[in-house]
Amino acid sequence: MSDPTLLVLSSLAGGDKHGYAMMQDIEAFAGTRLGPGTLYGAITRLERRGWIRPVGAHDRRQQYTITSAGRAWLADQLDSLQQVVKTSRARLKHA
Amino acid sequence: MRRLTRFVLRLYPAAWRKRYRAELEALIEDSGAGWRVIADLLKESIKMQLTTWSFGKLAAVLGLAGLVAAGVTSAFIAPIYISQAGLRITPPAGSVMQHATNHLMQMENQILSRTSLSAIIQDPRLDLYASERKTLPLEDVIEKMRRQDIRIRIVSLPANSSEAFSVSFSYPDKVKAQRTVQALIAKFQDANLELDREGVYAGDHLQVVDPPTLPASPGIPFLPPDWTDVVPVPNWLRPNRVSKAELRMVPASASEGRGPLTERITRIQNEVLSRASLSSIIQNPRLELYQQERKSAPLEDVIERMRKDIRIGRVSGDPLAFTISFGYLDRGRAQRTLQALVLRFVDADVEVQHQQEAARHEPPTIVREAMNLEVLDPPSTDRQRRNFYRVGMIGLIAGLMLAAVARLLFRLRSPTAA
Repeated sequence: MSDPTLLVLSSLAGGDKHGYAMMQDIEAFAGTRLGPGTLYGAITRLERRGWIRPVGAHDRRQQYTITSAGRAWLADQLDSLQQVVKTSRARLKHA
Repeated sequence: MRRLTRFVLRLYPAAWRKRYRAELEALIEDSGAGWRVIADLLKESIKMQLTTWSFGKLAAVLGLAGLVAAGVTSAFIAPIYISQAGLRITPPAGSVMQHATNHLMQMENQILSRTSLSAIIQDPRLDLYASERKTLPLEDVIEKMRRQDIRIRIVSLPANSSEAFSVSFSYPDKVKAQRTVQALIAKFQDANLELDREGVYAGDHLQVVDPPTLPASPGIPFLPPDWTDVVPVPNWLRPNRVSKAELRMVPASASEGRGPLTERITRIQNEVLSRASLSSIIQNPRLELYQQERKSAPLEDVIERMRKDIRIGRVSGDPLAFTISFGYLDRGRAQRTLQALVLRFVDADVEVQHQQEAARHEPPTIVREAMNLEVLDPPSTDRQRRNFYRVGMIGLIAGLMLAAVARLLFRLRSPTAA
């Protein structure tokens, strides 16, 4: 999975984080290292859609939290992915 | 690396920088900067700009970028040189300026013939189109030389005195361009002497009052005149370019009756507009008219179409004069076709006169009148700049099309990428 939007939302679903913390978390759970440009591109789009919002900042490091709309959209996307994964696994078994 | 990172961050939209720059810089400080980070930032900044710009701004920037890229490219393309010479054809003093235009057209036909051009191309001193001749048949090379690189244009026509015209040749080699024009001039002089030996008619004859005009280019401000050759405008959007000429039957004596001469004009017109005559003009390899139509319709229909594109009109107050015009998409071809038609008129007139003289058992009224052909301006050579316009225009159009495609793509992308 390499969609930065999904990766950022998945990371924030586990708790509020600033950019660098998100980058490390994503690398740890997905094995993908997002570049700073890609990460902030995704953050910009998600904030514009109201799926994440900024919360308290430490120094210049701005923390973000996932909104309820963001959780709903993430859940919806994961259900779709789940369906794809389930179908693919079943087909692999019969192949 | 830090300086470069700061520079790339400046490429993001100003409003975005105001909101996110500080935290992105903090992230880069934590994660470290490198070439991959720079490339990632650059990619995102372009993406961000493309999504936030209005179509007008996008089109202007990409169009300008295309123009600049094309300008740089054109600087590396081998230059084309145009060698040009001016000539004048004058009839001998005291004789009627009756056939200068016809004379010029006849000379042009001889000079642009396959035999003549093939001799120039293969002249060992010139050895033109050496690389093209390795891959293309000689016929195609001759066609390229005739249609693209040689230009013969009537410069002015001071009534009843002389006719000035220019001969130019475009070629990547400056010296060869000049020598080729010299060779073309020599061919003109030979053709002039040859035609003089054949003589001209002094009896009733058809005179070209106004030679076929070169139709004007579409006047679009700030664009080169031949933009229609570059911009891919569909044929149905292009208006026909009309070349016009005026001819007049000149009686041998003022007391001669007009009736027989108007009949003669009608006979000549019928001859010129006949199936055989138009068919040979349509299929003339120098003109190659109605190529698209000829693929989908029988020749008869194409001839009928050409008859509609040819207009013959009367000149008020002069029953012996008439105008002829021909409309075609390509202005150069419109003029060349009308030249061919005018030449047909003159030839048909000579033929009719022959027949009438033979019927009356009169001796032919051929007199020797040497046309004087002089070189006004010897061949000069200039670097052609049209390449820059052409390539630049292609770059500009490519940039504008890229802007339209980019905008469309960003509109069509999924909401998560918006």
